[in-house]
Amino acid sequence: MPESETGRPGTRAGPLADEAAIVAAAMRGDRLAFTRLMEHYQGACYGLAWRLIGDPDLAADATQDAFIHAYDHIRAYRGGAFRSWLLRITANASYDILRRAQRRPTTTLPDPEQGEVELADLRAPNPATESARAELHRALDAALRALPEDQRTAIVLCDVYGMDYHQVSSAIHAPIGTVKSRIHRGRLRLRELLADQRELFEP
Amino acid sequence: MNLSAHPDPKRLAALAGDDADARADRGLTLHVAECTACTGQVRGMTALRLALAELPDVAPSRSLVLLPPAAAERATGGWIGLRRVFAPMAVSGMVLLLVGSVGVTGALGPADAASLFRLSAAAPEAAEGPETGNTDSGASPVGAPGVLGPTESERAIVSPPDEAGIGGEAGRDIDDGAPGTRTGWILIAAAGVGLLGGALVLRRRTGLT
Repeated sequence: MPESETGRPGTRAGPLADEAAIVAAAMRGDRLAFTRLMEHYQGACYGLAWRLIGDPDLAADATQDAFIHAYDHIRAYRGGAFRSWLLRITANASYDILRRAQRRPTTTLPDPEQGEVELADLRAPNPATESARAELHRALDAALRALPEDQRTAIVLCDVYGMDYHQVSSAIHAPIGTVKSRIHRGRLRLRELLADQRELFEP
Repeated sequence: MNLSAHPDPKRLAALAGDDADARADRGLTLHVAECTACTGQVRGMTALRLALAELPDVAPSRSLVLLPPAAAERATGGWIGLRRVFAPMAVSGMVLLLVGSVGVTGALGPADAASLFRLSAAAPEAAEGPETGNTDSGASPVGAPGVLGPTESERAIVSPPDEAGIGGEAGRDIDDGAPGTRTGWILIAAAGVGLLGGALVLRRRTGLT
């Protein structure tokens, strides 16, 4: 998988120390403040897009689309975790790109059955230097890529990025019952896929 | 509950996801509490879910433009573009107004400036009045009878300096009392304030310094 944003494996960008002030400045039209926010969260947004779409270039496109949407609608931000707000926008942008890609058969999307092959093509770190944690992350991402798209989308949004059922439902335009069913089936399928590597994450 | 009849695995997955419906299902929770196999499944899926929640951020495959290019383009073509046009115009206008007003009052004196404004104010009346034909004869309109009769300040323009004088007593008298003078200064001030305000509004809308 691509390397971690910060260079340290297993890290996620938390909120900035003075995030509320930076967001307020961005809402007033301060482009420098907006750029700082995007710079901080680009790894989170790209990670979500990459895990949803599976293609690095399309994921970058989705992230860029999300930034444009965020720039245009930042005045509509109504508080709460800015990261969650931005991730929801990224999820919508990614889902739009997925839908467009499915309507164009010439666009290649990774075959879920070949998810591990796709991952191997990405900038994989040297296995000799990987920690057990990095190995776990790689195995999880490979298993996610092997899921059917509908289950992968629901699992990534809910279990990886912490969205609730309503947020997932809104992002993928599906009823909550459908979302729950996909998540539950996805968890079962993931556990099957990781049957040989349970020692990595099960106590 | 009969331990041999295991619940639907999706219900176990829901329980592993801390789903409120599953937690409220007493039959399900009782079964899981007593069934080793189902407990193992729930624990395994719970551990899997927690591991998923710790997946790290990912560095983009290519450098992203952090300020969206489309937004930047819109900004450049929109308000910033307008600002680039209007800002020099506003500054030039203010400088011209300042220089013009100083020049008028400084070179000709307040009385002359007052006469100019009075002429401007009288011009529409001249346009509506009868033809005099005096301009053909080369006579000055200032002296044209019945149309634009010379005012006190106009007489000051053609008067020798020792009579009217630049900033002399006659000029001060007229400047102090003439409504045209006040109107002129008010117009100059309003134009300046308007231009300055416009520039400030543009700057605020574009968010640029």
